[in-house]
Amino acid sequence: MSEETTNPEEMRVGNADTQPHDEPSLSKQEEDTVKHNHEDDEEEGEFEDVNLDEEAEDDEDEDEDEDDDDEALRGRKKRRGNQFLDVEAEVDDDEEEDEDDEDAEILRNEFLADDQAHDETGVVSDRLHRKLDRSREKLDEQDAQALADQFKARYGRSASSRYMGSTTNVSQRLLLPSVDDPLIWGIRVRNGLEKELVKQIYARMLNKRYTDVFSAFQRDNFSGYVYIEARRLDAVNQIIQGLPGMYANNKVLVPIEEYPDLLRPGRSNEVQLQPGSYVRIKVGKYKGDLGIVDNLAENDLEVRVKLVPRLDYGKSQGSLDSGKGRRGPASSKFRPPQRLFSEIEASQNDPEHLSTARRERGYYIYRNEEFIDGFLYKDVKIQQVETRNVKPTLHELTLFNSGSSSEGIDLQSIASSLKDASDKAIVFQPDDRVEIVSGEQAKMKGKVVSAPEAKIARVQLEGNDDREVNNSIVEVPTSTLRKIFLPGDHVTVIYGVHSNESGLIVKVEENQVTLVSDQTKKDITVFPNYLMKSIDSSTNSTQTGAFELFQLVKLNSQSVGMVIRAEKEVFTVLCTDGRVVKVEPKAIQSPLELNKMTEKTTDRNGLEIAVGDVVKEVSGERREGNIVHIYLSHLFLKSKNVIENNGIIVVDATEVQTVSNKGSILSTFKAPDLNKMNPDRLMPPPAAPIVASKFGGRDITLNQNVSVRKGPYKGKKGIVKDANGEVARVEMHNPAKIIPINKSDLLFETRPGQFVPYEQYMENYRGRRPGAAFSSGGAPNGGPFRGNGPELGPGGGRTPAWGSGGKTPAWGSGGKTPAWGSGGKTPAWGNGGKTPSWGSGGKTPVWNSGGKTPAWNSGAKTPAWNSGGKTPAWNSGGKTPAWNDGSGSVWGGRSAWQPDTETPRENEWGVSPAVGDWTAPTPAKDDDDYHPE
Amino acid sequence: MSQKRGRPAPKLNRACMLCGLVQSMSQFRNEGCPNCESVLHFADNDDLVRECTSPTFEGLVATHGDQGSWVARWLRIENFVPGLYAVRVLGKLPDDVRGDLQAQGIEYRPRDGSIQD
Repeated sequence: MSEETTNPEEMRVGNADTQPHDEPSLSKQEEDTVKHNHEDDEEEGEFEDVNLDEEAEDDEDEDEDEDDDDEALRGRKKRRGNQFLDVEAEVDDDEEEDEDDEDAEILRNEFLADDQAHDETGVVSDRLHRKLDRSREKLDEQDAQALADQFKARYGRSASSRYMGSTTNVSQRLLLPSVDDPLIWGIRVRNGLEKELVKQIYARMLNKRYTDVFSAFQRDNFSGYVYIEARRLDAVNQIIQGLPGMYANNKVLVPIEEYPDLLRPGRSNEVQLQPGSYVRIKVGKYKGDLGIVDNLAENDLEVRVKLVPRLDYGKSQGSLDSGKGRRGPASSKFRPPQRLFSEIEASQNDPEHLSTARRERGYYIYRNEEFIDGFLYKDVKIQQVETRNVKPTLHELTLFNSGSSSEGIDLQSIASSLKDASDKAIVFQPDDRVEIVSGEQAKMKGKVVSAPEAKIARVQLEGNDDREVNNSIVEVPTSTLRKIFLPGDHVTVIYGVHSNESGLIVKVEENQVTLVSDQTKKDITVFPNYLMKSIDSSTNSTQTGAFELFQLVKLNSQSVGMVIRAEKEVFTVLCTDGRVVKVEPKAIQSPLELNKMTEKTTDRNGLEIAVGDVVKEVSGERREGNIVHIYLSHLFLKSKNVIENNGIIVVDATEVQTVSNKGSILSTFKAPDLNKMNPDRLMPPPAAPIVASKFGGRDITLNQNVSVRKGPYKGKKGIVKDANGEVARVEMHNPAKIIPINKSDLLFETRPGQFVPYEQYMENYRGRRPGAAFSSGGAPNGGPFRGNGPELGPGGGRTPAWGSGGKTPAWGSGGKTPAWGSGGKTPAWGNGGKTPSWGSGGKTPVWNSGGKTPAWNSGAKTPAWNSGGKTPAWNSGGKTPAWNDGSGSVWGGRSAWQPDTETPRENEWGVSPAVGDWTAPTPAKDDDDYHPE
Repeated sequence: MSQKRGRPAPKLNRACMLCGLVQSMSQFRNEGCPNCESVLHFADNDDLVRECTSPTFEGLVATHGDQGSWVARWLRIENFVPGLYAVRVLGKLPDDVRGDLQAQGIEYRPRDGSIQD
């Protein structure tokens, strides 16, 4: 309003000539707003009054003027004093209605006065506003540098971080520690607490008291330690004081040259992932599955992994419900098998989730997952994959290979994922020809002189163009070495999928060697460092995992076969139907456990055949071979004439006839022993020695001079140092050592130069103590010696003991033949039921063939035996001289009847040199003859 | 990392890829990285925080920003605010952020151990 009122006046002064007066007035107004304002106010008051008085006169004029002015000023008025719009309207009104009464005039005056008062404050605030505007403008115009300075001052160091660039240009080599730097102590802490302790130390470091400590840190690779950087040890002690888990007494000062190693970021055993590396998924549905890295996210935190999908196409309700439900334990139990994505199945079973967003072949989106060529491509967080020591099995690789047309396995990728492990496995041996692939001596060739440490090899350079370096020896890390091979070398693979295979090198390329495997006759390509020169063609490993060569295995419930080649990951199995199949270890259900004793059948002639027998086909190729295994009627033969299948052929038992088994050495061991099936035969061959050893007191064999009569030490002499039950520990004279030997394998020296078998020796000993002698069933054995050997004299008087019945239990084993004691009661013997073997002559050829038991023959008693109870000899008991004087021998002979009883004593009778008579019956030798023909 | 103490300390679960500072995701989101805020502008930019900080890091270093510390100098954190830093931060800044830094004259040196010098 102030403008409105002042300006008309000014206008009047120079309205006509200076229209642009506005501008100066504006600027003038700006310059001295306040003072001007006051003057205006006074003037206006008077002027207004005058104006009102002369209203009539000037009305016309003024009206016009006003109008003009108004026109000119309207815009400015509005601009300047918008806030007073109301009042302005009032003024206009009053100009038009002149004839208003005095009251109205007075009122209007008041109004104007009011107006002017308002005006005054309005101007002030307006000016202030402008002032503010101007100061703002000023601020805006301020120098950016100054602003930066300001910020810098205000935010100090945090802003300085952006200027860190200058220091980061400094190579770390220049940052290496010097003696001026603080020291670093390593403090032993409780395992697993390292990070927590660093945090606690950090909290203390912020405290003014601990400013002497520069830093504290921890590395995962150095578990169990927290490192503190400080100048003085007491600062360290101070800051760790009272921290639980800190073993303050266990501190080490880190040598200054090891500082950088402590803080090297790269020294980690993590494998740098590359596209093509193998990983294993750690969580979720694909847990444990092998994946191939397709590519890595830009920030290395996610990987895109190619997987063999496990899809059930919505068949299980659980997976239909929600994607997350799959992770539940219930669904993971039934996780679908790995199978390539099938569009057909998806569109049939679960079409609503399938979309083929792109029209590319083989690209589908199913349940928000991408499938390309049947494989699932999935983005996985890097923490969720296992990158270390991922060793794909052949089975997994085949799965991956099945979909893609590219054949073969990418060696590079295997190598990258196996890098760590391979370093360990590769060995350099003296005389290996090598080339240095990196480092200062790159491209040099030479041969390994020695490998003093695991990762260092001393290489003698030779064969290089540069003559000067030849013959010099350099030490290089093995990781920079590559073995050199030439086509034609025979090598063995020592590492990798093909390890243990051997073959002939056919091609050598930069870093790959191709060889023809001796085993598979196929080309395999490996890194040269995975090879080792070998002279002979390596045989198959005989055992791989749970199965071994020539083992019968079960492939499924119906088919059984024999492993004829055991390779890594692949077994070649010859089935019972003659097929040869290659299977993975996984495909083999279980090894077939066969009892050697039941592994027998009959040939076409009905003759029993068992493992080890030689049989021959009766028709066809008439192949012949040793039986290795028998499964039902299938025989697996090992033939010397057959080359294929490792010499193994499978034939039906009805197609073969026995070539030899009777009397063959093998059958001795392998054939069933019918005697063992005879329950009566199992009767106690009265474990005499055991009983004997139960006699109290000192073991009589102690400190005896002995000679070994059996086993590897046969013929050697020694002294019994210790005896425990059946076993004596014998100190041999030569070689001078103590060897545990079965007592029954020993001959005891009763007189210088005279050795008797253990049994005899025992008998002699017992003979000295009549009471004990016959209480043991074995006792009678002594009889014959008494009769025959002069040295046995002491035992002579014991015959009557027979009558005493004391021996009964021995025979009686079961108390069935008390008859012995009573002499005349042979019926016990007579009834063959108890000793069927007696009656059935065929089974006891020894007895039938009299020639083998001369002792009996000479006594003419044999018929008696055969005739069961009729032999007068038996009945008459004491009448037969043989019996009379050799009752013991009868008993001794008995041992021959039980050749298979475990007491070796009986077997040994025959070889006892001391007993002349006994050599004849040699029941031990007759052993063999016992076997049925 | 055992968190036994009563007051739930903020989880130290992310490390800034540029300076290596370790703090929690929410700290990065709410306050940004005290060292790199002027260039990376983490605050309230979830995606950026995710891209430029890494949950996988190793080696925890406590420093109070003393110039005398060799450890800090070696790790090039001597000019940064006191705090806990990681020796090795897995991951790399995205290309566009790297470009930005370069434009500002800041050399970015990945802390993931891929660069040896």
